[in-house]
Amino acid sequence: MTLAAEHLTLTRGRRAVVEGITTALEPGRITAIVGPNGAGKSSLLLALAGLLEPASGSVRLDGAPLTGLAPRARAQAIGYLPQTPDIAWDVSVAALVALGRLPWRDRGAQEIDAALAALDLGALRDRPVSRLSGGERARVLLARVLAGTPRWILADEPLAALDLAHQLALITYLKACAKECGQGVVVVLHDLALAMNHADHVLVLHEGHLVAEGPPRIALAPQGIARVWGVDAHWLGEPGRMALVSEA
Amino acid sequence: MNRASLVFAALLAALVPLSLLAGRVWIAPFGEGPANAALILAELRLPRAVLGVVIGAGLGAAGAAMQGYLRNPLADPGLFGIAPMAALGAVASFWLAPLLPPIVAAWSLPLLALVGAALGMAALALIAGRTASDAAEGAGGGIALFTLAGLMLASLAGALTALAITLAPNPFALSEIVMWLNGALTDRSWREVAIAAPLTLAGIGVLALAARSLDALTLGEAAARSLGVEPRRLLFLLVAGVGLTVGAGVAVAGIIGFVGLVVPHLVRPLTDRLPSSLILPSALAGACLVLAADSIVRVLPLVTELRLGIALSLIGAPFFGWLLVRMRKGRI
Repeated sequence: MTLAAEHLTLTRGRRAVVEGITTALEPGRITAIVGPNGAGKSSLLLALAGLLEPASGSVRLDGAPLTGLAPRARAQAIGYLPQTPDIAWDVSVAALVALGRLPWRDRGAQEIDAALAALDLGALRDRPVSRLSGGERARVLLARVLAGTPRWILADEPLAALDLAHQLALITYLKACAKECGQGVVVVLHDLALAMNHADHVLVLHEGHLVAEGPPRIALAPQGIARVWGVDAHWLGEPGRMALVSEA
Repeated sequence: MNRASLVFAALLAALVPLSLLAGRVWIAPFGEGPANAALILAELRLPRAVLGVVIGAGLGAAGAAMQGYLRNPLADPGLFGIAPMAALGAVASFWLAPLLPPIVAAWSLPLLALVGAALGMAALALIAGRTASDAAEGAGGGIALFTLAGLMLASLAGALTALAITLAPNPFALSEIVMWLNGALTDRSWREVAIAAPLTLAGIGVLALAARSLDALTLGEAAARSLGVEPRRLLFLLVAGVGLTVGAGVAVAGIIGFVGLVVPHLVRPLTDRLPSSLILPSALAGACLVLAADSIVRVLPLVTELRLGIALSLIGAPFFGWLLVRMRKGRI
């Protein structure tokens, strides 16, 4: 049940944004994609979700190319959470979460209730989304993905708009998805400390290339950070509670 | 059938008999009526009422679908450029009719309007297919580019129609064209119903097929695609559905604006606000609005009957302004 990229090259217009990436992502763990702005993180995530056609190479789910999969089958297997919370109509929380069932074409009442309960949204189910706080809205959008019970959850900076408490709550929940439900979780993260403390596996992208990959302590070693981000920094603290301190 | 559908179905059921009785000659439901009451009902009022229902339903459903597709409460079926293209086809018939054999000439106006609508749909489908596949490959464009293509088509058709008006073969043709462009249901017969009803019904059916994909678009284009929506299929359904409903309406009644813009706003508060919940009730509410407006223009004590298209624009334009104010206050 792997999600793998093989010699993956992605272009936007004529510009290559990701070049020759090969990696295999395992379910049951959190994979973080990190890198400086413009490194190709979001493009790689889109391609892993089957939403960006490779210029060359392929993305394979369980060995089969994603491009050969029917859109509905792909949607059932892979849930994608875009970065910007973009909701066109002032629908209720329950109606929004129910959109996650579209690939299954069923009402999915049980799955919707489970997703609402998992993210502690039961009391808000009838509230219009315009009356939610930023943190509540982020939880609702993630609940929409969970309601589709995908085997893979791909999220583009899901923690970006959240305060510390909500960041922790959401990442804790994603960890539970991976550890307890065996789902594959892939997140694009800007905050290297979050990646260091919560991810099981880290991909470091730099100018479209995969420059480091592995457990966070190895992939996010200070030498690598200096090379990729151009910042001299070191890690302080104990495993699981580390902070990045820059030398400047 | 949701609550909004029931409300507007009940309203329509009340409006249809009222519309049949109202007019320059009022027909009392019970007791003595005018001598030719049966004839007035069967040949004038009933086809006119049915046509009002058909056109209103098509415009309402198309408006709901367009607002869902463009994710914008200010969208209108006119934005697709199909109505102006149909109008251009109809205006062309004022020139071409004398050149055609009499049997075709009698049908030239609705036929050429439908040809105009079809050309508009084909042009959009060509651009649409291109932009949809670009968007699927992440090249951007997508819905925004498509909207601009629709606007381009609308202004081109508008300019050609204006050109046709300035070059009108004679003053009589000029006044005919201008009157026709303003949209009306006056003196329409079962012939127009036979043209518009099947096309509109088919169009609403096609739009209903797009309904769940439109729901997914609530979350934006990328999220919708991640839910299995195929952008190209959705665009073709939209172009076909809006083309059939709006094209059929323009072919038999001229341009009737603002119904598609206004109606979804009347319906939305009664629903869960997802586009799929809006299409059927918007069709029913559109039917109510056009039927009511047409009945009112018929009984207004004016020397010549107020054109329906003008009447609806007179209602619609201030409503549009009110929507803009509400948007500015962040209530939409």
